[in-house]
Amino acid sequence: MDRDATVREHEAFRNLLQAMARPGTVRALAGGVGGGEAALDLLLDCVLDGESSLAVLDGPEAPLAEAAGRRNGCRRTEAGSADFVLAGPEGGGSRLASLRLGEPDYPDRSATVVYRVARLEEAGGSWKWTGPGIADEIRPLVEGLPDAEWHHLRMVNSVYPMGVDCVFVDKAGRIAAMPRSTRLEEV
Amino acid sequence: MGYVAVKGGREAIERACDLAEFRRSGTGSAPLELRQILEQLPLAVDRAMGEGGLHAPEHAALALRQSAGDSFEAAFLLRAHRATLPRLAETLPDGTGSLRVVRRISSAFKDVPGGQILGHTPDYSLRLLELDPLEDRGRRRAHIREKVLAGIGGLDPLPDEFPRVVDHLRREGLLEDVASDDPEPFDITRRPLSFPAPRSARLQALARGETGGLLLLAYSSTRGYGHVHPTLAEMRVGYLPLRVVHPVSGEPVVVGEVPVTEAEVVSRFANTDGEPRFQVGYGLCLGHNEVKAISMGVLDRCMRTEDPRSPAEDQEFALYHSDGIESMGFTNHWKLPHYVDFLSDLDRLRKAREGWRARS
Amino acid sequence: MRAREWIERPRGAEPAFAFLDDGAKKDVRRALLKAVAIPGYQVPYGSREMPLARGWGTGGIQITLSILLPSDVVKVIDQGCDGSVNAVNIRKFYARVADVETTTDTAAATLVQTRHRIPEERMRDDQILVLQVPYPEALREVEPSEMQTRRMHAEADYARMWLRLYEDVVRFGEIRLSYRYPCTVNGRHVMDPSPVPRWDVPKLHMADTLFLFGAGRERRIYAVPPHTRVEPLEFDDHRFRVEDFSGKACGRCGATGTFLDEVVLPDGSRAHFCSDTGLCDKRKEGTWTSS
Repeated sequence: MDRDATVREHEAFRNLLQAMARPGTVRALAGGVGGGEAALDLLLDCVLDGESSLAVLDGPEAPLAEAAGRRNGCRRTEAGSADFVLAGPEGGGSRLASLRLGEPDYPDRSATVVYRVARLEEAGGSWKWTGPGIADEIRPLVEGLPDAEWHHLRMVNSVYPMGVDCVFVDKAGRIAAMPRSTRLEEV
Repeated sequence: MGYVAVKGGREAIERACDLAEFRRSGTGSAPLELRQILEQLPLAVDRAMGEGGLHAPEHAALALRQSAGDSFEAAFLLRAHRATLPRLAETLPDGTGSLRVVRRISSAFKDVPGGQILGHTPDYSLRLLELDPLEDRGRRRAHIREKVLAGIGGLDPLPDEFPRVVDHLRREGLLEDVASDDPEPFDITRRPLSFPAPRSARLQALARGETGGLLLLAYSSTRGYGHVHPTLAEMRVGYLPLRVVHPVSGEPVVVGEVPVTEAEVVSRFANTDGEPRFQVGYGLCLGHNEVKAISMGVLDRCMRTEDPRSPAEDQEFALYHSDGIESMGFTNHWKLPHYVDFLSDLDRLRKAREGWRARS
Repeated sequence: MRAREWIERPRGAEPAFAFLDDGAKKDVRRALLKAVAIPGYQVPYGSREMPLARGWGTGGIQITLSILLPSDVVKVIDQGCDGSVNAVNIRKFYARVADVETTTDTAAATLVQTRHRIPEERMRDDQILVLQVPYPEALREVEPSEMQTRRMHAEADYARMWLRLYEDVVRFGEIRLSYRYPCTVNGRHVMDPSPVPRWDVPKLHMADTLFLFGAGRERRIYAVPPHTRVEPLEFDDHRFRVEDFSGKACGRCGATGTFLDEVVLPDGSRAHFCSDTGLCDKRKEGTWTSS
């Protein structure tokens, strides 16, 4: 991989890391990366390789996962055993509970759900997020997911430290993240 | 105030590196050639490869020279070099039946099919230090070559096959069954160990373990800190061909061979339920290193004990503390500045002493 | 990289940016994401060997190399000092493999890698602190087995650590733990903050910056996100206390309120100097402004 491509992956991961460390904040994945699909591809490429696995919840995401497998060598598996899971506009719903939530001794052996959404903003949402990484509170707008998804996420992550972690990518190539440590309250 | 904060750390480090190189470059002696190390110190080369976890004899010779003979450093150089290399393929799984044997012995039986092939070993020599400083090494070498190679044409070739001693015992139903709990080999260079560790992970860790560390543990288990009473069923030294799938044709192809030492250890029966059987332990390491392979075989069995009590039987203890790169690195790290840590300790001690004085 | 790719690779390719191969970086990155998601919990990871020995910062180095940007300005310290052996070596390495700018000024840095100290100047939200960790497991003091300590964290069963602290109070009137003082993170996991002195522990609590902890030899990564509770274990009647420097000041810049190194002078007397040499330099030069 040439140096520019490497540096772009570094940049993407740096932003992903900061997004996970500051839940609800919204930022571009990397400079010069355009729309949602290019951003999603770069996001997956900066963390996936042959030692990790990727699954999809719904059909429309399948081509993206196959392309990712060809590019970065990640293994395709079914959702219940995957490290990373791609979700579309329907979200995961009750299927979230069947993803890898970790083990008591190893809560890290759990899934990261990557949601493709329409739009992300740092304010305007109807859920209040608090917890590590959030100064006081944040109410991000995640447009393009059913409201029920937050109920499901809250329930699945009630087994903290087990649970799942979420990353959101919007059509403009911006990202946000919600680790399992975030407390959700409907307002 | 007379004290000036110490600066110039960078220059000091550079000078220290220069001095180290100065020390090992010698004054009047001929600079060591890699070929000399490879040919005349092969066991040091093999040990470095085995502990570094990389078959690369010339690199190992280089590492030994660069480390001025420090076996920990040499293994470390190889291990660190290995970490920079891309992984191109994995070999196809193969048994060691294809091993090209140069030495093969069994202590379990007086004679075995295929024979006791002593091969090259100093085991039976008298350990008398050869002190003649004026000896003409060149003439001595010519003499030993002539002696060994004379009449070599008239010797019988080695047998094609050496039936395994443990297979014989197994056929008679005398050996325990060893459960295979991990058909897919673990990869300790990619994933951290977690416990209880699968057998492939344990054997890998032992394979690149530090010889002295493994020896200490295995020795302890045979002296009462363990229940393994070993008999060396078989030990083989030789060259193992490696096969990979050809990247273009897709066919299996032999890409070369690596020197290995293999030991199978059989231990006194101890199982309490079912039919009494011997226990078995296995060791395989890169290079010619008999002490290590035997120790591995003993430890393999120790770590499968149902009731672990001694350090050698404790997987965590044995595996966490037998990697030379880790143990050497950490032990050496005590030389790094710890003055802030120490000051923090001093503070605690002073407070405790104040309290003690106040109370007494 | 597979055999075919390697055979067909373009000749004269430049060396990789930031030394590590992709697989090593991604392994670290996946671990970092989980570490940040579960504050204070130690995530196991593969951990490659580095050209520096185990025990000399390979964990911190792997983290830095996996997240470094060419635009980063990197500060590396050991015991608070930029000129220390370990720090100089690591800084040389980064300059060589990533061509980044380096600095001794905490305020100018975007990424600070440290061994055993946290800089005195409060770090900002655009900065990251990477800490080198020899012992990631706070409970190792009371339990040698990893299998057991995993279980204790799973069940939030920290009784034996509390007991150790209690026994200290009973026997010595003081909690003996100095550096590596155990803290509860996010109200859930007891974490080892690495061998920073007690002085530095409060800096982790509800901070603006992201803290990443790398233990290379032990193969663990953990993290404390900003705005996260980090609370040292203490009793109501034996509170957590930092080191006592009352009556002392830095002999070089005059600072009070910084962690001071104690130096024995040739005449046997003691002198004190800021452990944070970067700050001490700025104060001495008159270029430091409190923010």
